[in-house]
Amino acid sequence: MALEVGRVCMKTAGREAGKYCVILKKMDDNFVLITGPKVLTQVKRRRCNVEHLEPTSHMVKIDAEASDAAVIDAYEKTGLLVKLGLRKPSPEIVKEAEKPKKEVKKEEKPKEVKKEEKPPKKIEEKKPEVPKEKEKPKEEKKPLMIKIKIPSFRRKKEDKKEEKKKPEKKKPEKKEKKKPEKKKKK
Amino acid sequence: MVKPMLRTRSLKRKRIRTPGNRLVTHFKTEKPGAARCAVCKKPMHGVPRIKSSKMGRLPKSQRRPERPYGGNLCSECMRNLFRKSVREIFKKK
Repeated sequence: MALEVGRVCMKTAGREAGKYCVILKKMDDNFVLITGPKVLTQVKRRRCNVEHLEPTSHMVKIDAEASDAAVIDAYEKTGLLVKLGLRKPSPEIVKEAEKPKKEVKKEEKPKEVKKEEKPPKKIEEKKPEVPKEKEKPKEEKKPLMIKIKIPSFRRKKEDKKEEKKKPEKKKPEKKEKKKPEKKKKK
Repeated sequence: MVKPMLRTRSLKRKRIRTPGNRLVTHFKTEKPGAARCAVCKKPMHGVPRIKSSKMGRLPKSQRRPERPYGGNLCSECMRNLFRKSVREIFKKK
């Protein structure tokens, strides 16, 4: 079997092995351009080594480097869809597959950057509430985050620091009272 | 006594005589044999030699090659299988 334009082949290597494809163009002595198309047989439009193809007895009438839609029509005219057991995809799916996807990727990247800016604001609001009861080291970390942001937050934190210092002084006094009581009992 | 870690019977033990004429036990974890092709019986590439319990922790793409019959047939046997199937169809017509 000669490897001509329009020859239906089976791929025999790689993850697309065992799937049918059509030859679109001869590039070298060793390489040809093929498609499934991807919508039909999951073999994408690509360069392929001749040794990785096994030609069948079927032919399809197409021009060199024909579009995917044209190849699917050619399959249908020769009745190969029934012989090879393939399902014809709807025309809407074929149109979507042919569109270039580069534009979609550019839109996604800016969205991610915006998301990163938002979450830090939420974290700052939560932190000031927790530290009122607990330790000093957490207080030191907060002011660094706050300086970058709105001035109104600074005033609230200064008030909180004053409140925290007072309860700390009271606690040590209570402990001292308890210890002497135990000694007296002994 | 050896370390408690080495007292499990899941480890393989080997008695070895050292150059100083001492008997010592060496401990080794067991490894399964290499996976083999179902047709030609040659050892296959791309299938790791790990216990089946640890194989489950790997992602699926690292357990076997990503082609049809990956992990059961070697690449050459798989290729011959598809060639035969195409040529049989051609003979009938």
